[in-house]
Amino acid sequence: MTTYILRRLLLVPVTLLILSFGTAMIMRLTPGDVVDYRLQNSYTPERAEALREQLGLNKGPFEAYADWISGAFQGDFGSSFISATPIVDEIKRRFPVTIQLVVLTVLVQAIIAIPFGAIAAVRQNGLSDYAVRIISVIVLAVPSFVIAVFVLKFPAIWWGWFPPLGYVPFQDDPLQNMKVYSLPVIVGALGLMATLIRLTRTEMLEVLRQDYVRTARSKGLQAATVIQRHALKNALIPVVTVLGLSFGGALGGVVIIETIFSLPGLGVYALNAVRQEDYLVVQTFVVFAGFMFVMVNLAVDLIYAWLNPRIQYA
Amino acid sequence: MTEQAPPATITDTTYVLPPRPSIWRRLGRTARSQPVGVVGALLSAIVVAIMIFGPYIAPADPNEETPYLLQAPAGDRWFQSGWFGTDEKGRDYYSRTMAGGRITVAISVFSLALGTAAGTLIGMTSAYAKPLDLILQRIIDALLALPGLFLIFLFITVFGKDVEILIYVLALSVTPPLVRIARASTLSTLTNPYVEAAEVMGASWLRIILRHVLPNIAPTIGVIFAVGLGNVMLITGGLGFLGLGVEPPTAEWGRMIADSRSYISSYSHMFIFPAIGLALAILGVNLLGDSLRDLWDPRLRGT
Repeated sequence: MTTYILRRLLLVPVTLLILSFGTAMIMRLTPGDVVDYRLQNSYTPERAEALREQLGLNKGPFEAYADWISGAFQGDFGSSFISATPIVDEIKRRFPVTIQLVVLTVLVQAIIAIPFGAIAAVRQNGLSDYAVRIISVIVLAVPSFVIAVFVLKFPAIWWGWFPPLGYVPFQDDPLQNMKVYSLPVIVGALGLMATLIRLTRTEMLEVLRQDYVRTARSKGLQAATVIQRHALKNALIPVVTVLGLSFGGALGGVVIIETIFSLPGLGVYALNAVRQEDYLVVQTFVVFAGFMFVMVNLAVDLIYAWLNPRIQYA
Repeated sequence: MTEQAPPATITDTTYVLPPRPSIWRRLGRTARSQPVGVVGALLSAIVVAIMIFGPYIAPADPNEETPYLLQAPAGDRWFQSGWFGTDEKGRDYYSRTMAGGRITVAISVFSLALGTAAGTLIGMTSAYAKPLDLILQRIIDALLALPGLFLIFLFITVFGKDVEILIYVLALSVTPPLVRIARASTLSTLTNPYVEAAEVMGASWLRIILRHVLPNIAPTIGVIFAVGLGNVMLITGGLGFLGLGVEPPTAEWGRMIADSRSYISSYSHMFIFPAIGLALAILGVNLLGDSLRDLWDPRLRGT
């Protein structure tokens, strides 16, 4: 087990190096660069040349990457070409916004999806089963940005109710912070939860057919005890894996959610950097997001092995 | 002594197999077992019909601007408003909704088809060619280390936005997971004795992959395609919504939904039509995909 973890951990830097190198190389292929964006109307070849000199853009791709990576190892990922603020500072400032969104989304998703899936399985082919299945088909089909626009605009038209917007850090005003987060979290969770509902239902159906569930029933345990202690616990093992993997989905979804609900997080930062071809920011962001994603996936695998001792990683 | 009758042989009796039911009968049977899939197939058929015939049904050029701005759908001045009303530039919204769906669905279908084909080929090759495998899988590791949407971001930064480029970019983003799936299925297919037999007979790697492996993994890949299409449509719409999709004035559902936000309080039709279109198209494809999965690959049922 220890060897397995070590091997996985050793692969992380390799993966990130390939990722950052690939990113750096292909971003250098772009014909236009950030200089065009910065100068816009006042563009002259001389000015562009001077600005490139100043930003260090006139170096060869390998030299530039070597500079960036040696800085990266010392914790300096360079500065944005647009705002000149160090990228690390910006990420540090925006990280809490995004991580709160992602964690809450995944939690709310689990809190809604697992009971729904379990109830649907227990009452298979009953009314609640059909209701849950129809709901999961619908939330899977309606994009989160459509739901978001809907909840942002229509209550205001119909009832004059305006959703709370404007980010407040949790430590400043916990109540307001939760209010601001409530809508984005629910919208994000809706988009993710269909998969989880279906998986919980399938796994639960599978487990309910097992011998040990029949044994538990026949020795006279209450139905609720059988379902909660014997069935659900075992059905949740694969669900936990998918729940962990949905961190990636939530992380990908933050861009849309943050943009719509104007949360100053990493997703908006990355989106603007993409629009402005601020490539050091994109490059750093890619490495950072990749790091988080890889670590979460590793954690998911380890939790899975811990929950299910039959799994052996070699 | 009477002559004994020769023992009856097979040739004496004609065993008649019941005739194979006609294609319509079989389709009908399948349809009855998958009623939800039929709904999905109908919705998908409507989408396909709009993709093919949309430009001929559309009453107006989707990009033609008229002086009749922001008309409500089916308003009292019918000749100005049309079925779905008009948008902020006086363009006929019925024609625009159809044209928008056409481009959203086309981008999704073509990119997923391209990505699936590339992923399957690379995955099969990777499983079969050991030295290549090591390098390829590290690259796939790196690509899979990013949530899909960020990978798309990266490629759009580099290659810009354009319908054709968008198709390649989306295709690239669906390729890595498919490489993994195709590789895993290929590895398990390669253990079959008939592959060994083919190798002994001197079949080339291309022949083995195309004739012996591909037919075996095709159902799995087909299911992945059918189930994944709705998701790709979500992403295509999302990119349009973020302004990273097709450039205006070309109509595209995601972009139309984003643009409608400024007018939504008085002219909600601008939001409703593309939103319902997108949701129904994804719903249809998802329902159809689920049924196809149940039919083609029962092991994956319910996932």
